[in-house]
Amino acid sequence: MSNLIKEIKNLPYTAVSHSNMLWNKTGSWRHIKPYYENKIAHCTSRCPCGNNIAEFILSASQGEFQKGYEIIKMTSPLPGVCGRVCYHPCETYCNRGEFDEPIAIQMIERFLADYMSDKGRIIPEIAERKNKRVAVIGSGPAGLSCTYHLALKGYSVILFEAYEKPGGMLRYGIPSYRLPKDVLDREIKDILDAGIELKTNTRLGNDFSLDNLEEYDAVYLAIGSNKSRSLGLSGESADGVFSGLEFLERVNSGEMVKLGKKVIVVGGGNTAIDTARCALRCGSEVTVVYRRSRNEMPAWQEDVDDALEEGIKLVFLTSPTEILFEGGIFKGIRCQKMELGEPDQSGRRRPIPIKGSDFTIRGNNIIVSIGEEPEISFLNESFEVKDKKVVTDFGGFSGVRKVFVGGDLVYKSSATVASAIGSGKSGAESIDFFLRNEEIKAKEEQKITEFEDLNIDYFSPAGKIVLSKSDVNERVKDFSEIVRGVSSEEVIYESERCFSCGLCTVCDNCLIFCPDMAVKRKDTGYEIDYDYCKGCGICFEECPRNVISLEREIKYNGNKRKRKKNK
Amino acid sequence: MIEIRIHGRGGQGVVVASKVLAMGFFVEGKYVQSFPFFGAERQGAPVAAFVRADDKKIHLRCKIYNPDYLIVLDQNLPFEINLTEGLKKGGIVIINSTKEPGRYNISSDFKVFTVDAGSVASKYGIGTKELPIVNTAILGAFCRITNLVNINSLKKAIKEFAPLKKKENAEAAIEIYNSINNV
Amino acid sequence: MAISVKEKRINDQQSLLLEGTYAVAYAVKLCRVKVITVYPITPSSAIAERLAEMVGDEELDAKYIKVESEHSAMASLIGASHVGVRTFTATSSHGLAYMHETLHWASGARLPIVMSNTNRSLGSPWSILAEQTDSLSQRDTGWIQFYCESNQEIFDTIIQSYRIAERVYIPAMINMDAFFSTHVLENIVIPSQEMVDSYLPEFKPKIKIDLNKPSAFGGVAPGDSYFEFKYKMEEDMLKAVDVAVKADNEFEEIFGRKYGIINCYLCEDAETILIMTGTAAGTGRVVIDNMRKKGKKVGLMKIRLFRPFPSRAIIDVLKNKIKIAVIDRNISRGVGGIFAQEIRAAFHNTKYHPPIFGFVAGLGGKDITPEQIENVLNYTIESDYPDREAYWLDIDV
Repeated sequence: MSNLIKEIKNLPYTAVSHSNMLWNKTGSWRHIKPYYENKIAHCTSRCPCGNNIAEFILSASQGEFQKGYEIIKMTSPLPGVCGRVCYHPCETYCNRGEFDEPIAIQMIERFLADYMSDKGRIIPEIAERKNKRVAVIGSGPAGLSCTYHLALKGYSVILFEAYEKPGGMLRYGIPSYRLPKDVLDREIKDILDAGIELKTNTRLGNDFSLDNLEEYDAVYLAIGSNKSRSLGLSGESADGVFSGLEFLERVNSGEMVKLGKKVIVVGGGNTAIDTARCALRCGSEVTVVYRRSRNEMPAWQEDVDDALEEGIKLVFLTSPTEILFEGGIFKGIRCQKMELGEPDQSGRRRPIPIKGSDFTIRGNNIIVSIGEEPEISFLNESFEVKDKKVVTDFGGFSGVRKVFVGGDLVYKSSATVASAIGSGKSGAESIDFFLRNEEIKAKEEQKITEFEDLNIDYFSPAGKIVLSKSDVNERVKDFSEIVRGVSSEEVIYESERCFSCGLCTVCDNCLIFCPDMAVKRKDTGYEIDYDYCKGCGICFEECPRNVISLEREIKYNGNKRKRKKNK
Repeated sequence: MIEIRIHGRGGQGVVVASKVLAMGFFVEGKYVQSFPFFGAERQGAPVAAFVRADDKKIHLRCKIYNPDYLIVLDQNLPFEINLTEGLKKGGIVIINSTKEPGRYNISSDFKVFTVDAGSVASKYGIGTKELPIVNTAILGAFCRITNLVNINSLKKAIKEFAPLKKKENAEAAIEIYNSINNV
Repeated sequence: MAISVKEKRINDQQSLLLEGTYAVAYAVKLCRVKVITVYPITPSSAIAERLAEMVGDEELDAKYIKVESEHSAMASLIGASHVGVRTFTATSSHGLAYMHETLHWASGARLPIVMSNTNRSLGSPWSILAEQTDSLSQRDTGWIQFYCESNQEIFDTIIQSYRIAERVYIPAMINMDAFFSTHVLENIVIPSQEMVDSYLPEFKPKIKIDLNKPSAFGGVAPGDSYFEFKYKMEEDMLKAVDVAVKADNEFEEIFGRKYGIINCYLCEDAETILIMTGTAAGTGRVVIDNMRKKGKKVGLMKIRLFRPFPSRAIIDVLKNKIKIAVIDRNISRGVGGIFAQEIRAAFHNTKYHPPIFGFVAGLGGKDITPEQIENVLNYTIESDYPDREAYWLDIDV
């Protein structure tokens, strides 16, 4: 028998190997190194409040509503408010929108806030108390947010409010069919319960001045845009003429303002639309007069649609030239037709009057809602003021000793509820740096996950939940909330649609695809065994949500690596 | 060995008839073989199935070319095909028909019986009124005419292989069995 | 007289009337198969249906995996068999062809998978009827192959195949004729579970996937070891002839039935031997009987085991015969019937050289009739020597 036959006798009948390849440390081949790095979701990057949207939706998708709520509360004290009145840029930039339909992020936020409404007060842990006091002036969204975040950092805060109740524009500007008062009251109470001293009916400029605040270590000024602009026509003091804010303030205080049968609203912004819809609910026929066309309206388009649906008449390219009144009583307006010219500074086309196009609109009341501006007569010259607003540095510092400014009062602020909340938060952070005698730092640039960064092969199409509103004929009868809430099942379905961009969901793709089995489970996630990772990048490719990053890795292999010199 | 060929149209239950008849023989302790004429069956097309029965093991594994018996489920089929092809001299033909045997002009080498199995099947609600399924009922006639299978064995076979309405099928076969006197 | 234990056990068997497909399913059940993956194809679909029913009704404690193709069916059985459980699949024709590469893998990995194949012709043109070319095209894949005559033989061969395959670690394919087996209802004797259990103990392979002893299977064979693995497999494949004979004898001990790897009928004093396979061999027996009555010295050999090819057993029977006729329901284009070629090859290095007449018949399910078979034998007896590789029945003869 040959030796070969003997060897064959010793072979197993099938090709089986009991040894392993662990000796072969393929990691030495690597020149590109993967590592885990959660990134900021596109939606989150666009949230003015800085909410960790992808994270709270991930919790919601697992039915962990309280956890989701707590995540929002880290950044915003007003989820119930934002869940209703924010114009949700997050949804505009939701990566899923490029795939099928964006996630109903705002409704999920609203659900979490409402779900937790009867579960007691939940706020994040409060830092150690600091022996510093801050005065916050104005209890609108910016002031409330700043107060909340300062309180979380352990500061004592006194909050001054000019009106009878806190909330500012949230209370006196936004009608309760968009933001029910109980939602607002609940969230404000949660903020104030951190031991905040609230002084209502105390107006800066009337009841106290900035000079009276010497005892405080810092001041946060967030008085908002609280004054309606006027048309500048004679007769604006006639009976039956209202300013938008004045009218809204009265309606939102619970007064059924007496209006005539026909009401004319002038303006094309959110206040104009809110005003018109409130006037409708007071029982009048309403006509909105706007000098440009629908395309240029600054009002939120969905609200305009709702207004039209409710029976409000919109008259475009029309501008009042004269207020008509008899015996001090308003009777109507004389108007001029306009046409659109070249774009102006705002980027919108400028309205130009058409000669000889005058006509008359008769009515019993006119509500002038052509914009708001802050009342800043109390400010001294040390403040730099542009367009009736205060210029600050990126941290909200006004340049005047220990005075920080936030919300709509800031020059070039975007004048939304969410940006005011975000402004309050960053104001609190700046004040914190200031009071700790540290330099105010700008935020680091964070990596953002956009649609192109995803591997969408792993997602299948699924339609967005249907959001519904109360019946149009019913809802105009009173001020009750229009947009209906959704069920927990719907929220879970909708949250499960979320791609969780930039967030590891422990989907196991990297673990499954790694050809060297170099991805290992660790705690609730993974780690890479660099002894065996040869840097093929498959994990990076196959991660559906851009959680893995790659970096170049240059290894010098001792003296084996010798450069040939050029001749 | 007994060889039987069953004729009908796609949908009339020719294959089930061959299985039931084979089972009838099997119950009586015979070796049997039954199989369809292999091909793609279509509704309405002429089809056939075969049954062999013997006291000893059957080795023959081809179609039946020289049957002893023919069973025909469709009364018009004899006019369309060469029905008695290969039938042994003295072979018996049983046709489900309302017609007299003479109407079929079948050679006097063979013995022809016609049985109105359709109206009996119809009475028991087997199939529809317009298109009664006679595949089991006509086997009652086979038992009576040939005396090769006991009617009780057939009853057992029907219970085994009829896909539905087992009781009605059995009763129809028995009724036909009892109705034939002129054998 | 007291009845012996053996007789009693044989009497334990019950007689049933079953179609070929159901007979296969019944056998698989009695073999306590653990993993079944079938992609249905006419005319073997009823095997899949009946097995699915059995698993669904919990008559059979097995995992039934639905797959998207025959290729996947075999691939998943390869995985399952590596775990060390008994596995089964059924296919036919195009389905078997689609499995081709996985058939090589299964045998190379030495997995004793058992498969029933329904011999059905391959397109084009379309036909769903009987022909053996499908499985004979797989003769080089390293599978044991059986060709069966009756439903009883199919049933019994499945049980025997597990025993053989698991002894030599080579997969086995049991071939049955489309419709002539699958759709024929005939008497069949079914043994009790205890009898099958005593014949077929639990499958315990020497090498299998074991979580406590991690191993890699089917990796690269370095150096010359691929060649050596193949040598080892060929040794075991050749051994399978004797293993099959032994398994058949042991089967007879318990069940009272025996088939032989080849089966000879009236061959001893015959001068001319007819060789047939599959269901047509049954018709051949009837013809032999008829011709014997006419005084012709003819006999029939049915080849049951095709791979490994039982050359020695065949030569032993045929060596002193005057003439041999082979009827093939299959064709290797360019050389004629495949069994005829194999038999010619078996004779080549012997000192015996009887004339071997090859006949091609019954392709695409064409009936092979007693008349044709008698013509074949008469032609063979009357001719001195064949003048071609294959005569086509009803055309050439």
